[in-house]
Amino acid sequence: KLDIPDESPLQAVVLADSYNRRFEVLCADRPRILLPLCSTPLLTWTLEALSLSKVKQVFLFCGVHAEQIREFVEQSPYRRTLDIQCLSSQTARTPGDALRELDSMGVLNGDNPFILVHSPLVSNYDLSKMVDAHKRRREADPNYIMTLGVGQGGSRRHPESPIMLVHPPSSRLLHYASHPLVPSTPRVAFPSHLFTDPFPASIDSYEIWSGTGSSGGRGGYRDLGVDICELDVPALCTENFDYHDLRRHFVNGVLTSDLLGKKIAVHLVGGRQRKGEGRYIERVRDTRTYGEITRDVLHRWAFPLAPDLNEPGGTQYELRAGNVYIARDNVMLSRTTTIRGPALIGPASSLQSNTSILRSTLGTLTTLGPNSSITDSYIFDNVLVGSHCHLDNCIIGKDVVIADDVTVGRGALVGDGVKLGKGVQVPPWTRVGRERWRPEGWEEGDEDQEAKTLRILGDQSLGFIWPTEEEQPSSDSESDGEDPYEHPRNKSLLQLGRSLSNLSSSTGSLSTLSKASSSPASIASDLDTSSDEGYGDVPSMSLSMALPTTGPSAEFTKEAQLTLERGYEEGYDVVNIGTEMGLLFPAYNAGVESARKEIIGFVLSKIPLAPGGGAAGVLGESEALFKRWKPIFPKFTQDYTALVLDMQAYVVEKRQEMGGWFGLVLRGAYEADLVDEGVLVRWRDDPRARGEGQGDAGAGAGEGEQEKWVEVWKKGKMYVDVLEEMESGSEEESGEEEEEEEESSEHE
Amino acid sequence: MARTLDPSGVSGKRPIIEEQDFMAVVLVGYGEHLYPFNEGTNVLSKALLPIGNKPIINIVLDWILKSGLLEILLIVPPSNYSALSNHLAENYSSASYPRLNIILKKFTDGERDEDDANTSGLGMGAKPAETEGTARVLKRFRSYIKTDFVLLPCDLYPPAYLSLSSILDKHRSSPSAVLTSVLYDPPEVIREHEEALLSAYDRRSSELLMLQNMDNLDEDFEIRSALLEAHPTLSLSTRLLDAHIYVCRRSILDLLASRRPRDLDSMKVQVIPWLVKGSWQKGLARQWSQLLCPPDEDPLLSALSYSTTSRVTRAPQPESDSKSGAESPDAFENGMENSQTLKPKPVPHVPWHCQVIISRPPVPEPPAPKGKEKGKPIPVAEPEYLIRSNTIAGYWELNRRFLRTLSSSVGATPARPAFDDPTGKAAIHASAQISADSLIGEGTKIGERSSIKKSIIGRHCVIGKGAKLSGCILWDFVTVDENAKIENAILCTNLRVGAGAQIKDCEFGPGYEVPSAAVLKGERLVLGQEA
Repeated sequence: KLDIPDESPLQAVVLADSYNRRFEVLCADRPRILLPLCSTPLLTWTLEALSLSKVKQVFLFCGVHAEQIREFVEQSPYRRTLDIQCLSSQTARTPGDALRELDSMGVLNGDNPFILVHSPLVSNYDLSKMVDAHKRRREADPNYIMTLGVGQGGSRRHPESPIMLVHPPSSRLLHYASHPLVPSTPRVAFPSHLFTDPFPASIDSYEIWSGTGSSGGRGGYRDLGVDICELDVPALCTENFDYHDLRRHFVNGVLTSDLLGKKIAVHLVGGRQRKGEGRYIERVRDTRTYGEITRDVLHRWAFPLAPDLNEPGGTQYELRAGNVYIARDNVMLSRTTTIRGPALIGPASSLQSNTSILRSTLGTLTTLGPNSSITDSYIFDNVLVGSHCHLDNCIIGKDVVIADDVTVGRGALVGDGVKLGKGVQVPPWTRVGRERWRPEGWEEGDEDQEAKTLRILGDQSLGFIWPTEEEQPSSDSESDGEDPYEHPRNKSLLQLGRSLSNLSSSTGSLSTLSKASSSPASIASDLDTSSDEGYGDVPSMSLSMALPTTGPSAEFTKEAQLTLERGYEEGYDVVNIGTEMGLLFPAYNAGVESARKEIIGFVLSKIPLAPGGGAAGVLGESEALFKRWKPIFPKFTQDYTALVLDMQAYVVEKRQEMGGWFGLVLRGAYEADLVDEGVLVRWRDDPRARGEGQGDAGAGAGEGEQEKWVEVWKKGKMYVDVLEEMESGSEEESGEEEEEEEESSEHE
Repeated sequence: MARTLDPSGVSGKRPIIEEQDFMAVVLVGYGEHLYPFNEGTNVLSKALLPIGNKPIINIVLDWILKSGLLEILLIVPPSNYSALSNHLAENYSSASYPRLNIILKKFTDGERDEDDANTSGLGMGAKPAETEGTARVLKRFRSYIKTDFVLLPCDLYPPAYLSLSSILDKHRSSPSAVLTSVLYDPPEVIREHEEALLSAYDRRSSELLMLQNMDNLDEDFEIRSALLEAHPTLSLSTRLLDAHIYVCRRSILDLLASRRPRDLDSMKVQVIPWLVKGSWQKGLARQWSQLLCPPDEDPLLSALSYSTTSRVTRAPQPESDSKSGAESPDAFENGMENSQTLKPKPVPHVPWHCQVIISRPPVPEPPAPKGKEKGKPIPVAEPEYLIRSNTIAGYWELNRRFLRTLSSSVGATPARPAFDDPTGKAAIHASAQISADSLIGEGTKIGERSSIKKSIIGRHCVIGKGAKLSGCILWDFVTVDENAKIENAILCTNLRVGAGAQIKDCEFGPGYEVPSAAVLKGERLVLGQEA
């Protein structure tokens, strides 16, 4: 089959520019496609994947830093096997623009489809199979103009997983929807006419392909960012100047257009391939995938592309036990260095005594001072790290100098040439660049940013704090505003070091997490240890009056708060937090009730009462929080009525502004299955809920205190009444029940 | 042609189970979609529609018996009761089937719920009980059903590759299945006549996840993200239809009992889609798991009850009315008291789900059987489908297929069944031409020079001389007078076609009389109507 002479060579177009800012600081001096992954530039990985796929001619479509790419190609050995042409354009701002320019250049030949590669690839899959499948499909039906590569399998979630509706026998794509993880939508809509009135009418079986779910058990689908395109694709882009994003605009435009009559197919990679054939194909889209793919390569998933065998970059590595790769060239390891794989140590690196490397890659000429540790991090070339440094889940650019006693927090990106002074603590998810952040149209220096830079980096550092992606003004372009993946919260999930494990599908539960941990305000406040929320000062002990114990000590409260906060920030499993709390309260002789109160109070403190979110926001947040924390409570209480009482107590004593929302909070707890209606009704009927026995025993607040209790009780009662009615009343349309409830409570 | 059932095991496949773990419940409906068969005098019960002169209920009952089930509850409309009870006495007497236990009940026999009184008061009026849905009927007869059960329609023609025991085994083999239902791929001709159904299932785990009537679709068809997340590959189909074969856990009846009757009328429209939805929607799943998965059931004990060697009797699950009595207006308070006394801690959630079996012709060739053959018998075996005779189209298709099997097995069976008739009453005139792919019932008289092609003639019919029948289905006691010409028609019981009438593509209800020399084409008429 393969002997059929192809007059026209197989062409591939690689979009070297990312058209987004996910690697921003690291890409200040060089294009994303030249960033190293396992010490080999991404472009090399991509070219390797293309040579494997029988591609003969490659067009590199470059934006900024085109000269660097050109230079790299000049020196690259691939020059001899592939016909590589660099096309550069300063005006292309989107993939759509790129295709338009490509169309006008007229370099593509029309006899063969071409492979369009959106982002750098690491792959051992033969893409020409996809091309063949596309050609076969097109022979049968010339209306197929594009085939999307879709990967199946893998237990990793990604915030950019689309949902696709496919007709399985023909592999035809019928519907493509972006489906960001956050803000998650409870429902996904498909146009009904796809089912009631399909075209052609013979379509009667469908499959919905979606991304890997939170359970991760069964592999979902992902968009590979590799398309087999006919010349119609750039032509259509030229015709429709408003096509920017190839998925959102182009694919959806073609699929929804009746006039065009063009069809798009999907090609599944993974799952059904025969053994022994490479089927690993991943693209580097963001720092999250960068980390994942690095680990995959070290785990030899991309075999035969592994550092010790066919490392495309040409460096020689030695494979040691536990997927540890050490360059054969001048690596100095101390006797007391511990390396735990998967890890890669570049040539001429030197690791001094008591250093530890955990699941990390180090580039060429990395020097690590004594007693330093690097965990889950990716260090580029020529980096000097001092002693007693701790690097966690970060990417460090080229020529960075890190002085002693520096801590770099998770998710941080440190750009090329930055110097971090002694004792600097880089907060999580910070971006540090050598130059000032100067987006286009930027007039003057931002004073806040300057101040922050100074405060965090100190005066011995050389570098500037860049705003993280989610806090940058979304002035990119009008079209990006509507991209659901570009939602700040979703974008933040694309970063290295973000955990997705505590995301639930039904609600946007991440919001508080990302707000609390990633916004600079809270980072700053964490550092200044002046938290604006929570228990700041010595807690009022009026909570504990009804208890037989003498009341928890202030230390316990403080310790509990710290435990909870830490567990929360770092995304621990709730059950583990529960265990920790379970160990904590006996140590302070505090009693299980006070532990419970601390926990529920902490959960409630995390419910934001942002005026913008409104009732639905509060409800969503509280439900998500309760859902996440639910597993902790059985350890601390048998009687959930007491839990509701504790919630009320917290609101009355610590956070009275929440009083008005108490009904919604209860509803959140109910929806999250934390409490059932029986518990709520018992709470409503409990005299204690109306403040009886609270006022007199309390810290002397007396009457006023009781009034507050009653006030909060009333708010809660309203919801419980509605709920009771609902339960005893009709349950018929159980599915619709929820909507009804939503309506009724929004009227409250 | 009475079949004998060897109690030691049918065709050596499955020994009859000592303890019956399933009861077969067959609901016989009124045949609403069978106009014009369902109007006129002496309407034949839907269950007794002849397929190749054999009532369809026999096919269903034989199918049940083949799976080893011996407890059958047959619920029929009151008007059909006597006919069916006679039929059962004739064909399924305890003499020929010693261990078989068929309970025949009228719709009206079951226990009344107190709140049924007012609604059925209405229903008992003009159209007796016709408003009653299947779910309500089932709920009323729940005291008769002691075990898990399989609910079957009476008008099912199962293909050879789908045995009931395989369906039951599928249910038995997954302990968390509350429901196992069958979706089938219908032949094209039938699909056009059925309401399109949008079904969603997981191919890998064969979980049924959604059933939705296509007519109710809004502009956008919405799917919950939670469902998609749990099932990255979700298969949807607009092709498959519901065969209305539901293997149910006994506790579904408890769930039914806990709901007010107006919420649940039909199994198909309400209960099954609910159950299916509840299996993955967490709130519902949790809410119902108490009822559907009663906690008192000891898994070890229930496992033992399936054992063939051990003699542990499986205690019938108690009626959980007290626990679930949401029927009365003050039920909520009852429930409240219960929950107060019962549990301060949340009830453990026992996962449960609904399964699906998809019945497709095993041949991979595209299922496009030609609706109308032109006299040419198909040499290759055409794909066998599950077909229901609940519509005229289905009934036609079943009979057509029956005729085709006749013609393909011509060599084996005698062309003239009349010769086999020991009574000799079927007087077929020597000059009558009867094609090999026709079937003549006993006691039928066929006059001289008449011609019968590709037709099924019932019992005790009289075909006048010179009559020409082609592609017809005649039920019993039909009289066709001289020189009538009939093509592609169904003639119900007691029908009379006048002399010289010309009929094409028609269906006539029981007792209809076609006047002499009438020319009718494409009509559906019942007694009292005129063309």
